[in-house]
Amino acid sequence: MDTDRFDELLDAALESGWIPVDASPAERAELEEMLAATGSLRTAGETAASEARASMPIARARFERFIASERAAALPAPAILVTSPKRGFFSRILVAHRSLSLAAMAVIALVVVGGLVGNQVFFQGVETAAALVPGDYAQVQGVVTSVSNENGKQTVHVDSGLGGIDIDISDSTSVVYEQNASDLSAVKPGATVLVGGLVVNNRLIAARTLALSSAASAVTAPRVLRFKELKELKDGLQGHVVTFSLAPDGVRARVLVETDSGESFLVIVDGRSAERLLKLERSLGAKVSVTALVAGVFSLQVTDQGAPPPPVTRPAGVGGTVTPPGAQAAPASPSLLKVNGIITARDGNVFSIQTRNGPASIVVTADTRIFLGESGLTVIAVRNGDSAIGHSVQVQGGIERASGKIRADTVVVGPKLPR
Amino acid sequence: MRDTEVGTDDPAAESRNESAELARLAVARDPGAWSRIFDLHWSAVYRFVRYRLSGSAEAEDIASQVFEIAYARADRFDYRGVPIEGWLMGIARNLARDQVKKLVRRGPEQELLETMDFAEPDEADSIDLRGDLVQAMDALTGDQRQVLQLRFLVDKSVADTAVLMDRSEDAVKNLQRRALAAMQRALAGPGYPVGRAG
Repeated sequence: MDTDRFDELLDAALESGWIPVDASPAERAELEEMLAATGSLRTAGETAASEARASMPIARARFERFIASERAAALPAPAILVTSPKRGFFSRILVAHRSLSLAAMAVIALVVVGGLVGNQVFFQGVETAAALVPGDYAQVQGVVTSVSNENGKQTVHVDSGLGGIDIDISDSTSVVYEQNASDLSAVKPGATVLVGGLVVNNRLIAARTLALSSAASAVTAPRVLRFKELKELKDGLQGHVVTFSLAPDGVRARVLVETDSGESFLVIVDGRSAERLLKLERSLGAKVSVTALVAGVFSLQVTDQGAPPPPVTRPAGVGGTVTPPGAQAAPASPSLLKVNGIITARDGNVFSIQTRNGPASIVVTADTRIFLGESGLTVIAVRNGDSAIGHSVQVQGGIERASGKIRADTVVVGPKLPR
Repeated sequence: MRDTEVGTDDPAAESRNESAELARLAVARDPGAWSRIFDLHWSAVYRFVRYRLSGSAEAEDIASQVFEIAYARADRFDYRGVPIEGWLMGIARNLARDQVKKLVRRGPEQELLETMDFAEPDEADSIDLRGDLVQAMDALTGDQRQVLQLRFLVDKSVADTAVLMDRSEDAVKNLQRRALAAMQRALAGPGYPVGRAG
């Protein structure tokens, strides 16, 4: 038998599942035996593929945690700067060049002032960029200013507290209107939108879920906030959440907090604080107080659950309707789909949840942010078979267009409830 | 001139460029790149190790270790020599082999046999690979076993298998035929249901 010819026949049979018609009886008999043997292998492969899909979210969380710990370990230890008392820069100059004229001093002063202003601008840019870190999951609220469709790719431009942001729309983007499934036709300029998605860069988010509300015509472009990263706790720091983003490992979150006095701070918080926000009816707009945790990392305590964001004010010169503070209740703000309940079953990446309104199926994807903090569960326990059945759970997300199932953007697993 | 011809309209060239860029970022331990690598290759790595291991939890653990080791050794990766997936598969093969060796050292031979026999005793953990088929696979050479793993358990094409094994496509087809024939001989009987072929 010609082995090259038989290799080709076998390859064709494996690809199509059918023995080529030009195979001789002897070749046919041998091919049948080989194909029969591959049947069991293929079945095993399909089962393993199903297992792989089911295990992916948890394995992904483990890998992200691993990367975070490796990166943390790789950071250099903080250097302790020891300096001996020295004469200052200006005094050294003055001592060395007593003959400097007043004009020369003025030039130096101008340079110093210019440098300070330059630094201010530089740091402003850095701080804005740090609010959205690539790979994080973020929730940002704003007003749609335009919707473009170029070469089949839809982009929504949103003015937000972080400035203008582009939102990439894909086939998997879910649109939620007043807690119900909707479609992209509802996303129009002027609409107030809450975006949940993955940060691509500091001006681009790949949307998982877009939430709209009937408040669309009541608000206009939000004021762009200038903020600094909070390094040291200020006494009694309180404010409302403007936007937040969650690191892939769920260990840290970045929360932009605006105080009642109009100051804004980017606050790096721990995973438990993120959980507290995600469990609220509406995370954005929640009133929080800030306490110190460890160097550079803070804790948030929610002081007013589900408070709507304050009325959005417009920058000078921008037209549109503005809701005057105190004149009327703030319009309902958009929020992602919320599901609270108890996990009753798990089939791969689909969790069955019993809610007050009946059963619901929740799809968990590789990009879903999962928090296990108060559940008593560990990733290892879940990996070793703990399916989290009986645990309370809070989900935020959208609705899969194809299946109609709820797709989780974030999942917070709580303690196991007594039967 | 060649650079001009191979522009962005060439999907193969574009794919190679993307892979090279991903590899470059992976070596720099860019978290986004590793997230992408995980998404692209988790399923294949899991399926590759699953065949040798007794249960899904163990396979998940070993597959997870593959990515952790790869990340930790990222600076040693040379994209010019081997694609990322091939590198991951190499780590996976070694880890799975070490895991089986540990079992050999740890317990009686029977424990190893049970470990390698997916059909029993725990149906929930079984991946439905018949015990006699596992034994037949063990009768193959390493290359033959690997070609069947990649082709049927990981569902790789002949072309992809050739890249991962650093062989020509003809060599893979040849190995595939010899592997299936050897498996048939090891099974020594026609006791398999007729497949889809007619």
